[in-house]
Parts: sequence; structure tokens; C-alpha cells
Amino acid sequence: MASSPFEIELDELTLARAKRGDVDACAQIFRDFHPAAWAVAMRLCKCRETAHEVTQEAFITAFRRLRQFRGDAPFWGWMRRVVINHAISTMRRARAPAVELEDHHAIDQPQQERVGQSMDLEAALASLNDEDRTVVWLHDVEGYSHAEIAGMYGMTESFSKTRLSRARAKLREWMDSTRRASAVGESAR
Amino acid sequence: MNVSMSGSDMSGADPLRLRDLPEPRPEAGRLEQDWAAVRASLEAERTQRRQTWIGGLAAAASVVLVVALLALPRPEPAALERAPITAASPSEEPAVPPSTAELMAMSQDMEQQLRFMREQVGSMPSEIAIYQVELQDLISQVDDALSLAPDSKALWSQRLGLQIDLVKLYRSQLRRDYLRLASL
Repeated sequence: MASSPFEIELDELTLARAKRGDVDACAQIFRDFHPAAWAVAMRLCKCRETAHEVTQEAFITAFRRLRQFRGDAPFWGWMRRVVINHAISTMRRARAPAVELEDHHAIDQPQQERVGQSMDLEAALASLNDEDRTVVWLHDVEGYSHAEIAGMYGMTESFSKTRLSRARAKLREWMDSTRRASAVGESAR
Repeated sequence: MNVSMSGSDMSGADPLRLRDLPEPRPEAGRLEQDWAAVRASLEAERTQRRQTWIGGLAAAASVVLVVALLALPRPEPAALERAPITAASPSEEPAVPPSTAELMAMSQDMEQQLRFMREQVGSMPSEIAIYQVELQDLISQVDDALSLAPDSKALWSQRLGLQIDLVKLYRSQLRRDYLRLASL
């Protein structure tokens, strides 16, 4: 089972220095966590620029509140939560602009089929509304429970369960219809 | 912040295999660009915090200075005339909080008074001059905030408070100048 790209170990010394306001330590934390933070923000907000804004705001908040981090849980879990909270509040403030999907790199021939499926899935994910996409991503990929997701939105667990169920159904439906359409296209050649 | 080991359970179901999707990556050079923005914001906050702290210290010091100077034995020069105490002395005024418009008017009056005092006051010792500059910086910061919220009662009140501190500072310096002249 793949682990979250956020699962990065942070040494105690760097953390302690950052808590004291050491800029070099903050820069180290930023460098280590920026790609994962931006990736989650991008997955939730669907827009590269919005993801950059969310990432910047999240790190500013994190460094400002670093003294509040008690260290009874891994730093990456705390940092990821800050990023997700910012992404959710950004999406609440304004609808994210047009869909912008990640470019796929050239991939070996045996992986072509999987790439096609990935692109279907990317497109299907992008077709979901903000809340459905966020809930399915947080639950299925980041591993949050319904109670935790409900807490992020200030809603009940049934909100999370309903959104997840609806999002999965829409994703399956989208992918099935895409496959059917491509199968019809193939047979028509 | 509410922190939990949230999302650490990675064994949850992923029936659509979303985890297998390629991880999006930021454009080359954006890490440095984002860090520059974060660093600038953090440094601006630190500078502001430092200024606020110094400003608070300056205001407190100016009050202490004024109190100390007022405690000194006063000479009775003939030139100094006592203002007559009228029925409308401040202590008898009803304690009604001033409106925003009143605060604005008071601040404008105070500005005139400060302009006059600035012209009167002579050279200041460096430690007093530092307090003066800090207070003026704080007033400028409040003015910046007022440009965004011109009707904010809290900001006008804050501005007036800072102006009063500045008046006290000038007054203490004028008194010091007077005492120096009187001792000649």
C-alpha cells in the first residue's frame, strides 16, 4: 500500500531551531515539505496557482504557530492538516478556476494502458465538485476517517459518508462511460 | 490548532486506486519563488512585532518620563499663567465615550497642537528622539490601516492615544528646555 508523500521525517534539531525562529531551519522544512504540500493542495483545488497560494499560506501559518506544535504526533501529519485546512477554506472563499490537469510524462510502452486509465481517472476526478473531490481524496488517498473529514468541514459524519459514496459513484460512472465511448470508437474504425 | 494523528491510517479502502495516480509536481523554480514569498511575509511580521514592542516600550517610557518630570518641584515664573478653572472642567464632564467623528476631530486638533509643539521644541536627547520616531512610525502604521478602514473607531482611538503620547513627550521636552533656561 502506497504511503502518503507527506510522510517525511523531520529531525528534532531542525524542528527546535525552527521553533526558535531560525530562518535556515524554516527553509529546510519548506524545502522538504513543499512538493508534498503543493501536491495535496493541487489535488484538492485543481488549479496550479491556487495550489501555490494555499501552500504559501499554509507554511506561513505553520511557521507562525510552530510553537503550538507539541510533538505528540509526527510533524508531517500536523503540516498536512494545515495545508488541507487552508485548501478547504480557500475553496470555500471562492470557486477554483478552470480545471488544469497534470501533464503526463512519457512512460514506457507496457504502462500505456495504465496511463490511459490514469488520465480517465484524472478527468473523472476533475469533473467532481470541490467537496466531493476533497472528501474522496482525503478518505481514499490520505486515509482520513469520516469523523476527521466531518471535523474539517464542521459537519456531521453523514456528510462525509454521503459525499464519499456519491463521489465514488460519479467516478465509476464517468470512467465506465468513457470506456464505452472509446470502445464504440474502436469498433467503428 | 487541533492536531491529531489524522489521516495516518493508510490502510483504508481505495477501490478506484486513486493512490496510483501520478503525483502532481510544481513547476521548476516555483519552490524558490514560494519560499521567497513565505520568508518575506515572516520577516515583515517579525519587523512589525519588533516595532510594536519598541513602540509600546517607548509609550510606557514616555509616560514614566512625564510622571517623573511632573513630580519635580516646579518654579513659579511670572510668565506662566494658570488657566482659569471653569465649570466645564474635564472632571465634571459626563463619561460618554466619544463617537468616531469626535475622535477624528480630536485627532485633527491634536495634529495642529503637535505641529506647533514640533516647531517649539529644541533639540532632543537621542533616547527621547528615538521614542519620538517610534511613536511617529506607529502613527504612520495606524494611518495605513485607516486608509483601508477609515471609519474604524478603534483605529481612530489608537491614533489619538499615540498622539497624546507624542504630546506628552514634547511637553516633557519643552519643560526640560524651560528648566534649563530658568537655571541660567
